[in-house]
Amino acid sequence: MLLLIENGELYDPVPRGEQPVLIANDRIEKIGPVDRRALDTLDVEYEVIDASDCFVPPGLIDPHEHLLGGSGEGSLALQSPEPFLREIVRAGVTTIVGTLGVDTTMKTLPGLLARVKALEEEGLSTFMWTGGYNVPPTTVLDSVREDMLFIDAVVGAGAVAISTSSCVGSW
Amino acid sequence: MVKHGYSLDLVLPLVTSNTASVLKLEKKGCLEVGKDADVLIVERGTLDIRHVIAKGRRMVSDGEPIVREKFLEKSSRGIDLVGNKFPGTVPTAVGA
Repeated sequence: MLLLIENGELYDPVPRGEQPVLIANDRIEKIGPVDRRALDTLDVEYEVIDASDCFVPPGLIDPHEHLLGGSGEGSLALQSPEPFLREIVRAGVTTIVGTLGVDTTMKTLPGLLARVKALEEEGLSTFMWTGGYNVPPTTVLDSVREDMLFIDAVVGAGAVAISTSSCVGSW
Repeated sequence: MVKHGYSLDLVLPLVTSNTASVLKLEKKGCLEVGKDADVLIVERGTLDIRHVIAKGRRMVSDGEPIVREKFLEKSSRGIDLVGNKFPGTVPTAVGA
């Protein structure tokens, strides 16, 4: 499947002026002028999006999203439901990194990994932080190192609390 | 962003190329040949999101999501949740 974005102002994310973008399946195939007649002679289906009066930037990356919902630090009633696919894409997010928070008891890393795989199946690019607020970090396998080595989706250990519940970091 | 007057070229790297670099996601955060086809089309001025493409697949078209959560395919559920701070929602006075 070919998809051609025409007449838009490219931000790659640096502003590059008006540049067409040609997509083939899931990758960027060409940036720059595309001969529509040449495309026609290929006898393959293609779609064109007119991006007049629009900017064309990359999809956004959300590096910290509670994909199983928020822990609800104040009370159990404040635990929030998981974000839905449509909420995520409506915000322009195409890559998302799931994380746990203070709650690593009711919300678990295998549960988070399942959610990551589900959203990948629905079309997003998804990753996750292993661990949670607690130290030593909760992990899927025996250690953060093993999680990073053997689980492709794991990009590091995240939302580990440093000193207070409002001071967290990811590595 | 629009309200506070930040320019697109200042803010975009914070949520695209910088993030991809730190997370070592080599095919993300940048629109170059060979990278993943994750692309937005946003309106000049308002920056409203018009189209979203994720790995070449249309997710949002003309401002509306065109994908649905898979679990809804065989579901009769109707979920209507609106937060008090949802844009356009008048906050309910506590204790009123």
